[in-house]
Parts: sequence; C-alpha cells; structure tokens
Amino acid sequence: MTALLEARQVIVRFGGLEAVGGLDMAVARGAIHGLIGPNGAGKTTVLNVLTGFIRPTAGRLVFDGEEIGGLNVNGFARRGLARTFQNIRLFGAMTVLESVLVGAHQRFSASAPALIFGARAARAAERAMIARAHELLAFVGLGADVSDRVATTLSYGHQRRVEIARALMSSPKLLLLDEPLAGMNAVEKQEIADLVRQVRAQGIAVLLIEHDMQIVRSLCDHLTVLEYGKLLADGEPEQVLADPAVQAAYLGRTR
Amino acid sequence: MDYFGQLLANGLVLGAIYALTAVAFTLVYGVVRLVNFAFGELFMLGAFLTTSLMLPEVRLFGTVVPMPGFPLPIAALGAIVITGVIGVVVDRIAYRPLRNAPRLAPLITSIAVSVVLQSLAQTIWGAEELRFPQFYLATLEPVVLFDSIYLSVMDLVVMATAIVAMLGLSLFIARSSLGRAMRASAEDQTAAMLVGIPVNRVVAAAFAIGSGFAALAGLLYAQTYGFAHSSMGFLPGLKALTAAVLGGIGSVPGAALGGLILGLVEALGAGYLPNGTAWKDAISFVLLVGLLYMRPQGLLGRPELNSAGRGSLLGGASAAAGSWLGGLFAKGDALLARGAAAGTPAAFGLLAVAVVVGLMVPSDYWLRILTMVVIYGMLASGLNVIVGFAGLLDLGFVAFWAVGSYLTSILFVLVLKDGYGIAPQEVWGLLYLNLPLAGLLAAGFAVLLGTPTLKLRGDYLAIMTLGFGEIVRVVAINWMDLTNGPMGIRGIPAPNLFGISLGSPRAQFFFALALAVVVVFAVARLVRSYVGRAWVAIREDEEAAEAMGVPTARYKLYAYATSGFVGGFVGVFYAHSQQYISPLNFSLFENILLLMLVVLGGLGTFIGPFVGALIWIAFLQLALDLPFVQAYPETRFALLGVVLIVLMVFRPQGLAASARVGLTMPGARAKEAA
Amino acid sequence: MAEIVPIIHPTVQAERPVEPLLKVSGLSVAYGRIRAIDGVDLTVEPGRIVSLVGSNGAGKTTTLMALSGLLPLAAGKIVFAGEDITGLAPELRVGRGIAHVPERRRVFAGMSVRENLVLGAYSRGDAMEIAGDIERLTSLFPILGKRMNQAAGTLSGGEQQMLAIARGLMSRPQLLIMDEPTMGLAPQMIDLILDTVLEIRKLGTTVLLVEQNAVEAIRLSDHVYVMRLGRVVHEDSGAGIDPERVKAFYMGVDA
Repeated sequence: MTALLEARQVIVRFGGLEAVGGLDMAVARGAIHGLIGPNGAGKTTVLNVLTGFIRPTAGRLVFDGEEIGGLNVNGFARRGLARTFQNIRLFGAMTVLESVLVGAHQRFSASAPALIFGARAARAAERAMIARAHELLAFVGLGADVSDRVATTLSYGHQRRVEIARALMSSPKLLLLDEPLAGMNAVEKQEIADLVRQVRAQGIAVLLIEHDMQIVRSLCDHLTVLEYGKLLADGEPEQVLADPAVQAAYLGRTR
Repeated sequence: MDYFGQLLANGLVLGAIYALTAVAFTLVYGVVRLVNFAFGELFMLGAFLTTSLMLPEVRLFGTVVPMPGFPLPIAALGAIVITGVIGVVVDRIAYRPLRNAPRLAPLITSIAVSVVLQSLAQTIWGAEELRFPQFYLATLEPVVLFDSIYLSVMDLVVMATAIVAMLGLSLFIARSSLGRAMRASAEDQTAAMLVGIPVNRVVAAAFAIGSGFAALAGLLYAQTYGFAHSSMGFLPGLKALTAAVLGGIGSVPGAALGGLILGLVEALGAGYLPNGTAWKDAISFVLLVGLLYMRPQGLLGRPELNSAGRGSLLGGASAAAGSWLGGLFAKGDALLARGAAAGTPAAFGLLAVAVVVGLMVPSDYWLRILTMVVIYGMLASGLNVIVGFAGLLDLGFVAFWAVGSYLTSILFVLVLKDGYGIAPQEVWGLLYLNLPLAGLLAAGFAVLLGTPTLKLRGDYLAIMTLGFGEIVRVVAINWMDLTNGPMGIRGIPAPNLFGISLGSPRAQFFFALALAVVVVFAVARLVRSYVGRAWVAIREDEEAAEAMGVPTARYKLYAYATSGFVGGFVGVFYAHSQQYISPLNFSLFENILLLMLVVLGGLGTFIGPFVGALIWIAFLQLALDLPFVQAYPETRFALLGVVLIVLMVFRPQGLAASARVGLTMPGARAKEAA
Repeated sequence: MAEIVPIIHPTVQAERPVEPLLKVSGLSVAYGRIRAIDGVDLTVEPGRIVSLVGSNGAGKTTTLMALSGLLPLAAGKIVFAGEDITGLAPELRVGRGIAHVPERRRVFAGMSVRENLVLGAYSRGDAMEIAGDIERLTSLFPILGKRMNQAAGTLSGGEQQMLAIARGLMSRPQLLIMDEPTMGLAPQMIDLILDTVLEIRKLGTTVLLVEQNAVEAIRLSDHVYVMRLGRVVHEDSGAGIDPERVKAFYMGVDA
C-alpha cells in the first residue's frame, strides 16, 4: 500500500539559512507517526510545510496520490490535512461549539439569500453539523456543559481538546499535532495519548511532534528524527531511540 | 518665467513640508508601531503657536491677550518645544496605557486625540484664519536660478530648514546614544530592555521629536501660505502619512523621499494635467493605493511591517482595565449579556420601544434627531460587518454610502427630472427599486476596492482603504457632469408610497426604522451562520482560519460586499431623507465618526452600532445645554474625543461589548435544547 | 542534600562559606492559567558556572526570563547581591549587574557589530571606558574585531552568538545569564562557545547557563539543577550528578 503522505527531497531556505535540507519522509495510512528531534531541528518547519503554511524552496508533496505542493493553506485542509498548533490557536471570542464548527467550514454551501431567508436546506446542514460537533466534543472527552463557554476561558488541557475536535470536524485523513502534550501533567498526557489512539482507531493517521520520549515510545508506530533540518533516523521507536546518534542529538556529544 | 521651473520650486517647498511631517509618522511608527493620526493636529498647533508668539496680541477665547511678538526663529523654537511637550503628554495619557491593548484601540485613540486637539484649537483661536505675520526675510527680492526659476527667500529658508532638520535628525539617530537606543527599540524591544534601555522613555523621546518635526512643518506651511487655521493640519497630515508609507514607514530617508515625491507629483500634476489643481489630492492617493498594491512595504521600507495581522482585534486588555470604572461597566455587562442571550425576543423588545418612542415623541425636532440615530446606526452596522466581524479596518466605507446616495439622486434629479422632465411623484416606485440596486452596485464596488487590499494587514489596510475613500470623495467633487461637483444635488424627493409623501419627520422615522429592521435582520442571519463564523475566525486568527479550510480571501470579499451593500442601501434612503447631498457628506471625518460609533458601542455586536449612534447624537444635542459648550460650541467635539479616549483606556472593547452575538443559527439549536 | 563540591575552582572552595550572588526562592510564573514554573529555588554562588538542564518545556527559559524581569512573577522572591530585586524593571536589573543573553541571540540585526556592543554598555555611566572594553572583548572574540562595521544580521549564527555574549559582557555584569547559546550551531562552533563560557568565568563573571547539550553543560558546570515540568527535581555538583539519571529525564526511560 502506498503511503498516505509523502515528502520528497523537501528543502526550505530562509534567506541564506537552510532550515530543512532535502528531507524524505512518508506517513503510512492509519499510523501514529512521531516527528522528533532537538530544539531548532526544524520539526515545526516541516509540519508547516506539510500543512501548506510554508511553501518549500524545492521538493514535492504527495498526499493520497495527489500532488498538493502548489495549493494554498485552505486547499491542504480541504484535501484532508488538519492540524493543531504548538501554541494553541483557538478563535478568541468564539464559544467552543462555534470554534469547532469552523472546522466544518467546507461542508457548508448555502447561498446568502438562502441564509437570510432561512432556507430549509441551510437549516438542516447547520443542525447536522451542530450534532456532529457535539459528538466530536464528547469524543475528545468534553462534556456538554462546555459547548457554550468561550473557548479561550477553558483550562489549558480542555483547550487542547477543543483544538483537536476542531481539526477532526473537517473529517481529515491525516491529523497533524504540534506538541499536543506540551505543558501537561503526567495524567493529562496519558489521556491525550489515549485520545490519539482513538483517533487512529477511526482510521485517521496522526503525525505528531513531541518531546516526552516516554510517551513517544509507547504511542508512536514510527519515528522520524530530525537534526539540523536533516533526517537523522527513521524507523520503529525502540530501535530509533536506542540509536547512539539519536541519543547524542538529544543529550549532546562529549568533546 | 519658466512654468516648469516654478512648478518645480512649488513642489520642492511642499515636498519639504510633507517630508518633515512624514518623519514624525515614521519615527513613532518605527518605535511603537502606531499610526498617530494626531500629528496633523500637532502640525496645526505648531502653526498657531508660532503665529501667536510672533504677534503683539492675539484673540484667545474671544478676548484679546497681549503676546510677546518674538521674531520668527524664537517663536518657532518656542512652538516646537511646546508642541513636543504636548506630544509627550498625549503619549503618556492616551497611548502608553494601550501598549498591549487590542490593536484597534490606539489607532482609534489617536483619531480621538486629533478631534480633541482640533476642536480645542478652534475654541481657543476661533474659527477664523489667523494671518501669519510677515517676517522681514519675506520682503526680500526673490532669487533667480537658471534665469527661470524664481525662488522667494522664504522658500529657500523652508527648503534649507527642512534639509538641515533632516540631516540633523539622521545624524542624531545614527550617532547619539539616544538615537541608537531608538533604533534598538524599533528592532527588538525585549532585547533593548535586556541591554538596559528604558523603552518607555525612548518612546516618549520619539514622540517629542516627532511632534517637534510636525510643529516645524506646520509653521513652515503657515509661513508659506500665510495663515493658520484649526483644520489646516488635516489634509497635510494625511499627505504626510501617505508620504511616509510611500517611502516605507519606519525609514527616515524613506520619509524624506516620499515627501519629496509627493510634493513634486502634486505640484507638477496640478500644473500639467487638465484641471490638475482640482485633482491634485486624488493624484497623491492614487499614487498611495498603487504603491501599496505593488509594494506594500513602501520604497525603502522593510516587508515585515505588513504583519500586524495576528493578535485579536478585541482581545488583550488595557493596562487600566482593572480600575473602579471597569467595575462599573461590569454591572451593565450582566444585563447586556442577558439581553443578548435572549436574542430575537430582546430584538423585538427594542423594536417595540423604538416604535413607542416614535409615536410618543411630540417634537419634529427630536424626531429628526432620532431618524439620524437610526440612519447612523444602520451605516455603522454596515461598517461593523467589515470591521467588527471580519476584523478589517476599513476607512473607505463612506464611498459605498456615497454610491447609494449618488445613484438615486442622479437618477431622480439629474436624469429624470432635469433630463426628461419627469416629476419624481410619477416614478415614486423607483426609490424601492433603487434600494437593492444601489446595494448591489455598492457591493460590486466594494469587491472591486477590496480585491487589491487582500494582501494587506492591519495599519496598511487602513491606510489603503483611506486612500480609496479620499479618491471617491475627490471624484465626487470634481466629476461635475456626473455629480454636480461641490454644489451637490438639490431637490431630491422625499420618500413616497403610492403617491403619499412620507416627508413628515414621523413618517421618515418609521421608514428608517423599517429599513433598520431589514438591515439588522439580514446582517444577523448572515452572521449567525457559517459565514459569520468564518468572518470571526478571520478576525481572531487568519492563519488558523485558513488552516481550518476557510478560503480567507474570498470571505474577506464577502464581508466587503455585505458591508458595501448596506452602505449603498442606506445611502439611498439618506439622500431622500436629506433631500440634498454634496461631497461634504461623505468625508473621511464621516467615516471616522462611523468607526467611532461602532467602537463606542461595541465591535462585533448587533446593538453596538445603534448604542454608539444614540449616545453620539444625543450627546451632540444635550451638550448644547451646558453653559460652557454654549459659549464654545466646538468643545462638543473635544468632549466626545475625551469620552472616547477615556473609554479606550478603560474599556477598549466598547460599551455594549458583552452583548455577544451567537454565531449559530437560532433555529438549529432549538431542537437540541428540547 | 548532597555536599556541593566545586571541582574546578579551588579558590572559591577556600573562601567558603560564600554569600550567594543570586538567591531565588519560590519562583512561580503563570501564563494565563498554566503555571509554567512552580516554586523554583536556586542559589548561585559567585564565580561559578551554574546550569539548568531538562527537556523541552521544563521551564528553563521561563526561569531565566523571570530572573531578568521579562515575565511577571506569580510568586517568589529574587535576591541579587544581597538586594531584593523582585519587582525591579528589566532595564534597571542590567545596571545592578545582571546581563541576559537571550535565546535565539536577538542581536540588533540592522545595526553594526560595534553599535551592538556600545548598546550593551547602555546602562553604564563611564562612556570613556567603552572603547577599551570593546578592545578587550575583541581579544576574547577575534572574529568580531574583523566584523566591527558589518551589520549584525549579516553574521553567521555562531558569530551572532558571540556578539550576543559580548554585548551582554559590555555591561560589566556580575552575573551573565545565557539561554541556549549553542542552539542551531555547528559542532565546531559549539565547542568554541562552550570554551568561551569557561573563559568568562576565568574573567571573574558568574554564569547561569541553560544549555540543550546536557552532557557538556554538566561537564563544565560547578553546579547543576535538573528541571522537569516547571520544577527543580534534582540538583548536585557538576561532578556529582549522575548522567544516567539525566538521560532518563530526557529520553523518557524510568530511572
């Protein structure tokens, strides 16, 4: 079976600096794929390339058999790549329900007159999406009581879950999570890790950036390790984490 | 005498003055990323202060006060120092508390400061021009260059002063310790603090120097054109901002270059283009819009400045929010929030109140005022779509309003009545056709104007739309055949239904109310759907919205179109209600006023625009009863400005901000509750 | 608690007990509802190199930013050179003798190397001695001497790091705070920067270091604090610390 997402020879240059240098990687269907590496290795840059935020200087991106390199950001989302952000980016003034509904934007199509005159089809679409949003909020472990709260007033952990629900609302094929466990305690980390497993159980592949190796070890099916914007290692977690080169990248080398 | 040479000389003098003011904008923008609109007024203060200090006596507050009668250089120095101090005080009171406030707040505050300073100047020095006394150098014979260019000695002085001041400033910024600290703060405020630079004091210094430059430009302008007047700073202020943006805001050489280009283009355009004098203001703004489209960062600017985009329009707090005044607002908030949660019933309740008021108010005078409240409320609602919901600061909204007003006026008066001799009563129904027609036309126009702005963010967007608004106004003034020019169009018929005139104030009020119901209903239906959610998502975080699959460019254009539709729609009724329109009705000031109403009431709420309009128009009338205001009517505007500044500092999100708008279809959630 | 035995600086040992240069107690910083660091206690004795190590998100940078006043404290007290500086504005702390070399260097890119250095001395009253100090620093960093009139933004990453350090030293600090000075640098450059840290201590300046290269940080430090999830979980002298234990914190293996 072909990979769901393939990046071939991706190069990103900012001015003279090469942030990503000729990266090849592939995310398999239904996998939980970890993207790891020391600070400044270029992980978030890679994630930004894979979601269209950064257009690579060179290289190809193939998603689900289709070349997607030339699309703009919303095109990536429409093809089935949904993401969360390293620093949670929920929409400030919106309630949880409204924020999550934005994730379903592409599923709405009513015209302005239909909306103004309250056409039956427009109402039906709205009702269906609201029902789906409630399902997903329950799926990520949020009770019905939070749906009308302004999302940014929730606790940090709950905001993470809302962000994941928002991304899932677009029915993606691949969910990309940028440090979803950052700033959480051990219990919360396990809960989010379980949630990620449930996402995979729905047939959605997950690519995630994470620093907590304990979680990475137990959660991921496959790891890609970056250092200085280049591929350092790629493979099964146990094997990759035992690699002396990977350990040196994290802890530093003795001189 | 050589025509070209003379135009060149005029252009250089004007360019020098623009350049000096542009430096003020650029200096402050560079350090705190604030477009301080008030520099136009500091320019004016420089002119008034210099003039006053040079005269033996001046009439202040209507009484003659003896003055020192200094020679120009001393008076100028005094004026520059005083204006510099005023600039620092303004920064301390009005801007510093807002350093971390929502990004619109300081911009609105700077507009309010402009209004305050201008009306104060009018109160102090009166509405008349103050003649600039002749300085002895001005009596000398002009200098002749290349046998053809006649330059008065004072023109040379103006240019020399500008050159010396610019070189001096460049040297100061390049070499002095404070100048270095300014550059460092402009690049990276955090790093500046870490090396021990007191950033607040550096900002104050930038304000002091910038204000001094504006004052210098103002006094040179007053000297060149021979007068000082309270509104003299407005247009040169805008031009200078244009020059600063043209050159690349944040860059001092850019400001000099931009000013020079603008001065020359205006002078040469006025001289060579057919009817050029009339169009010279439009030339500057066309230049601005064209340049922003092709090279947003300006000629010498850095591209990263076009990125004020991230960060909430409404989120973030003012430094002063936690005070007793904040507590006072909290009480009203609970009530508003309950009202907003009630949604449709609350709207019907308010409508019922409006109907009762319309039936009960006995005086025609107050009915007319209430009609204006409804009209301004509707217009502000239209502006609110683009600014409040989609988060795009639009200073060109009046153009859409003008399109509607002119469409119906031209059809009824210039085409049918004057052209074909058809009396308006015979075609009364055309008004009802014009309402949607003007709406569509203005919407199309809005999309046309919106498209080139899509790449721009934050302050750049505001400046570009401001350019559009000014171009439309200049066109309205000068396209005589179409618009009747500055004379305006008279004799627009009052609204009429089946031959019954709706000209009475009470009928007009109810007509306006009916339109308001249509406008609010339609806007509310759009906002309470996936369209409104997309707008708010763009406002809160454009990139995240895009990542959720929202085609942000298209939805920005939808917001422009909706906003334009409302503007055109209401514009039709406005023309018939006033029965006379002229370009003066559609000035930048009107746009700023509408923006203030929305901000005052609460961006992104349905009730806010009407609350803002009610407060403003009621305030204008009620203030007339205050003895002080009766003596000095101009202080009304100053008071409004002060109210706005206080509001921005203590409650930047607006009075009715807690009347939060739900963004899901009301019906769609009804079942779920059951 | 283990006895602190400085292994490199016998002179300091001889003068014990020494008044600490920096004493931090109960330091807490919150971003909104999240406590980024919670009750951190640190003691830095004069003439030493003290390191904070720990994986990403442990709160190291937050701790440093709180020390130099860039972040408001939720709780805690900072005593520097016997004086309580808890509420002092960041620009005034420089004058008291704390210089902070921030993460990602943050040199003033549009200004020349010389101007950056002169700005480093902004808090000093003795304008006459600045030229001499620049002279001395160029002997520590010869490459900067050659680049004196070049815009800082055109320097390589390593050169920018040296400039950032030199700029910090221009205030003649008693304590130099360095945040990730080797991040994103090539191995040779890392060696050079780490050697410089030792040089700086020789010159009599105390160093508080956050360094991703934990192995090296431990090797050159007199004292090491290990942070995890916003708290100090372990501390010891550089020689006394168990690298395996630190490795466990990094690689997610239970030790």
